Amino acid sequence: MKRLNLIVVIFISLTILSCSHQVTRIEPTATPDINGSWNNTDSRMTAEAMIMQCLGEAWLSNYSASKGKPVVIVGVVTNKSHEHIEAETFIKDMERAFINTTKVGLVQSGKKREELRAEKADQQSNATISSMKKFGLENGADFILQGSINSIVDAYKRKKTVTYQINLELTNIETNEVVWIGEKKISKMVKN
Amino acid sequence: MRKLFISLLFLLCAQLLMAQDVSSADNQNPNYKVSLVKYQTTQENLSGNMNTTVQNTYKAYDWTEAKEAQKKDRIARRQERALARINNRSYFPDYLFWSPNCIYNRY
Repeated sequence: MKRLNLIVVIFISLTILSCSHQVTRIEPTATPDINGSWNNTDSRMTAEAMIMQCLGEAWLSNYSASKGKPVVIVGVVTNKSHEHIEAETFIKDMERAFINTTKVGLVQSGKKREELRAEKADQQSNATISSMKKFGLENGADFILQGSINSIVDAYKRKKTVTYQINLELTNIETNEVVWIGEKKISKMVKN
Repeated sequence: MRKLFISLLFLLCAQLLMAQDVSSADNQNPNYKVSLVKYQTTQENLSGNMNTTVQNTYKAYDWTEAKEAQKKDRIARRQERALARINNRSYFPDYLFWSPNCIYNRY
């Protein structure tokens, strides 16, 4: 009888253990590939390549020499691939690099800019005159950063190759001249 | 009256000078205001998506996904048929039970 009880206890505990949900912390730089989709490693590789290309190419020195520190605004990134990809993950890394190197200035855009203006508008009627921020004193951007994400999928039976192409472009707002195009291609072979 | 006229004239001159300042950029297209007016009215719609990722994805063919979908469809179809059989006894097609000697399941 005792033996049977022991077996039942072991069986139940094994069942509970096998069903339990397990979470382990891993380094963000060591994200393993699970099903071959776009993941953190791809985003990081893209960010590293783009930062290196963008800050290391001639447009920056050319502009800085003639007009000083360029100011960049982030525009739209269009994801035309087959997966849901959020470009903000690598764009933010780029923005951070711009600010940290102090070589490139950055201004807010989109919803955040709207929020700033709304706050400024609120200050006009609620803040003290000495602390109230004025309208019309924003920094105008010299360049706009726009981009696209494309993918090519080739699949047969259980094999699949996926190639992602990420392009970022920096365009002079006044002249429409494209001064820099960054590119990162990531290819994957997936076997199911 | 004279004072008012002089001040109005001064204001007009100032405005003209300002307008000249804006349009006096080197080599600027004289019709730039057409574009300025056009984009000033649509500016909010156009800049609303800034700093975001516009998702314009497509559906890529995936063999395993297609297989999985086929399997799911098959299971669903069978379940539907089984349910129909349970709910409706006359569901069985006649040809399955047709026999020259035994004719049953007729309405």
